[in-house]
Amino acid sequence: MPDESSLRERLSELIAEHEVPGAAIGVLHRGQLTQAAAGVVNRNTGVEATTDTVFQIGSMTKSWTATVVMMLADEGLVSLDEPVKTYLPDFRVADPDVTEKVTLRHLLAHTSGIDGDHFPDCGRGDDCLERYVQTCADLKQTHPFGATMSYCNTGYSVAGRVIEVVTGSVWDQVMRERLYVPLGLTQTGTLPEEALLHLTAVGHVRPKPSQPPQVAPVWMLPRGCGPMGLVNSTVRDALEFARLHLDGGRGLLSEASVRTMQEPQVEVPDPYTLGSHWGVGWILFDWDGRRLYGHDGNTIGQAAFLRVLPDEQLAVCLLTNGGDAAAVYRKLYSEILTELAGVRVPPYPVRPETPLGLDLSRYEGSFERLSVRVDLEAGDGGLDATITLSGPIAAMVPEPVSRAKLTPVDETTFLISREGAADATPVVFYGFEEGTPRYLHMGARAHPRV
Amino acid sequence: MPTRKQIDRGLETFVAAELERTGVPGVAVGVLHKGKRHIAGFGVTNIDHPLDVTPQTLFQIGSTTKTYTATAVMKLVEQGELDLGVPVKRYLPDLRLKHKQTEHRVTMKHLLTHTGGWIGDHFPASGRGEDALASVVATMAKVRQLTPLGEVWSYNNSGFYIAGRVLEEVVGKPYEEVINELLLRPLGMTSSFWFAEEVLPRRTAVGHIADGKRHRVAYPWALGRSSGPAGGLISDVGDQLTWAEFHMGDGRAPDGKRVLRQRTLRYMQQAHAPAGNIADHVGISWLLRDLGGARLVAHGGTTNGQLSAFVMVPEHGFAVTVLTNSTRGGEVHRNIVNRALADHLGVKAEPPPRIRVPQEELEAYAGTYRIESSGMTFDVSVRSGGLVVQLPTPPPDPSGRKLPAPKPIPMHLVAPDCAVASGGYLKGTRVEFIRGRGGRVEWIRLGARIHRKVDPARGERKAKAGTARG
Repeated sequence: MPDESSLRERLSELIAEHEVPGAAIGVLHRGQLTQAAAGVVNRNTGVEATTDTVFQIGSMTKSWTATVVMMLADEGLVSLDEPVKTYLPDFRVADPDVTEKVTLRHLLAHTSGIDGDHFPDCGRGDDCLERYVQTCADLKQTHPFGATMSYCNTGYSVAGRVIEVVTGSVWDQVMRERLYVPLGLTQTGTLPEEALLHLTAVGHVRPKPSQPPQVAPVWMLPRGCGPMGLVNSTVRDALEFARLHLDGGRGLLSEASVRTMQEPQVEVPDPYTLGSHWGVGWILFDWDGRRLYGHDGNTIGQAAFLRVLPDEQLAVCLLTNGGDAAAVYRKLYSEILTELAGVRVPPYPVRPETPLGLDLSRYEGSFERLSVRVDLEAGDGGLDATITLSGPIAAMVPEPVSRAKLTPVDETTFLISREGAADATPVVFYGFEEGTPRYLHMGARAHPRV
Repeated sequence: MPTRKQIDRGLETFVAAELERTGVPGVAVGVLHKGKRHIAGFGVTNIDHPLDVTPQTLFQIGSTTKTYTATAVMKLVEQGELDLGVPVKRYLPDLRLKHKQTEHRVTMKHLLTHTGGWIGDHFPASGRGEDALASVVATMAKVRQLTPLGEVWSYNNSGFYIAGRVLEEVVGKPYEEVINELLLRPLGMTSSFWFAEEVLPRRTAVGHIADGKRHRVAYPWALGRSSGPAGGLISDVGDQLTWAEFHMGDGRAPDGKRVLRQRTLRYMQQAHAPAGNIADHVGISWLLRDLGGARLVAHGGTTNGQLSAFVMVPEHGFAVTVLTNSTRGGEVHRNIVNRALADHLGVKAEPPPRIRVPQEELEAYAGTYRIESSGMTFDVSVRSGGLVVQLPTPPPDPSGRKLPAPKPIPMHLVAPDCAVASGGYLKGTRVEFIRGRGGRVEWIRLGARIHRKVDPARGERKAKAGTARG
């Protein structure tokens, strides 16, 4: 077990190396918690981060929302395989067949194909999820219903609305009653006025890829994004949540539901970036033959990481507020997991020494999901990519068109190097027909060929 | 004659000593005199997570927000979109008040001068959404009328909800955006905000509950969104001085662009109705007080654990604002304001001389009074030639923690039907007794609100409008 001071020292080194303003790490091993923090909560105030610092855990929230759905399933209030329409009679997306058929299981495992990056501002009120669902009526499909896995934020706000309707309460309140209060999570909440009372981190973003991270101009996403990513928490509280799953539900969630959440629901076409499969609200990892589950979170300048290794009764949570947090995660988790459990974070695949001699023209063309288009052309030793954002997402970034280089690792896997990114990260082509891929999986999202 | 620098340094020493004396966690002070500013921060934002208070630290300014609501109304009056003197029902046809005649007759001027006559402390939960004000105004039909429209001044928060709702309706935007658009942006007040997510990345004070010198963080931090027009602004002392400069100026913003006419600003500072307790008169939202020969144009605010003062003396181009993060901030900000007035203007509050009244006249004030908004009661009794007010113990805060019982407040009469606290934590505070048509004492005005005298001999009389006059 790493002791607190060495953990703090290592965290300090890594955040300095990767320009992360502040971070907290917690290691829960066989019931014992070791925590450390380093850096600052806010570069403008210079206030030091502590293990009590509240961070936005971002999409890690999805595991929390899914856990509450499973509690309601335990009580017979919802069923994973019942159409969402049963609970939300007015629910509608563009494809009438999907409207009729989509279930909570599809939503929680990201297999619905519904446009997943839908972040409308539905106001600050308690009606925000009701309004959110109303804005889904025109959402189109990223891929055919059930055909593959593509990360779908939208599904979680819809699931959050199901929670509200069947409980007759507000999502934030249900989370409080069902998770924070019984688990004793005193520093966890969903609203900024709650977070304001704590030592709360602010996100930092780079105005340009070459510039150091600065305090983000906006603290949070609109409230309608709550169930997909607005829980604020500390490493201690987040690991208490993990302990709920490690300890068989602790009487709050049935053991059967704890297991269901960890059962593979769909294979992830790109097994390198996150996990190999998706469960119900969990990403499932196969590392050196060991099964882990967990989730990541990314909000406006804050990134969070949770990995749980059940056979070792081990959970590790890293919360950060900007910079190259993923690099810190990869190094720190490899070190901790190697020491405690003999497990490495698998390294990204590497380019072969000798050229593969692939016919790159087979990959040429356009791959597109809603609001993101990737145009590929064969180039020198790989594919030249032009990535074009459109719609509301384009308005959120300074430059909607970016270029990248894809170099092959093997026939399906390429490494993408983007301007300003520290690492080349994997992307995967799949669904080959006569040697030509029908899909590009990038950033946990499916991009069908057009 | 001390130099400005000496005065500023003297005030800083004084403020630091006040913090030391009271245990108040943090204070920010801003003084403006003849165009020169002095701003300073003291203590910490939050005792659990201490961060130094700087002049840029944000505090909830509470009810001083009412002057923003009123100023925005005046802007629309200048533009011909609103009229202070016509029934607000013209702008809000759906307005329903419990007292029908009042519903049809109440004007913007009544709202902005606290003379509507209904229970002003009406704080139903109304959520965080853009419909918050509309939904709270929809509950006004349940609020009891205490006194006839326009007759008695009694501090009225809910009147400002209606005024804010009128702004929304006329401009077609949420209240906060109306104020941003009409006032904050034109005046360059970039350190003034409404929402937690806006202030979270900045240095922001949280409220504290005092128990003697000991403090704990007040929960919850936020007022409901519907309280916006009555008290929702979060700001720093620099922006507060910008607000003072604007109101004492010629109506132009710091960048020279006109925001209001000068005569509109002056009109707001005129006496429009007699007031009480905390003010001699009320202007258009401004609380007016004569002190040692100077006319103070003021407000101030109280949220959950954040108390603040805002005082202008326009004839001297002087303003002082004090923002605190404690329920004990009142005595601190009063002392700081008085010190700054004395240092800069030589203005001193002379306590009014005590008058002697016969025992039987004092007995007329004694009895039990009911706080109409909460139903709680408190007692006024006669003791050694004066009065003693024993306020009720407040209910536990939302986290269930008990609040300390207030200490008895000794009072003596300074005029017929007017008493002043002679000691304790409210020393210098004034109360008034208001008589009904038959000459009997029917109300006490304390803490700027009127409270009905409950006659135990006759049983608790059912409240009805029209039993008192101002």
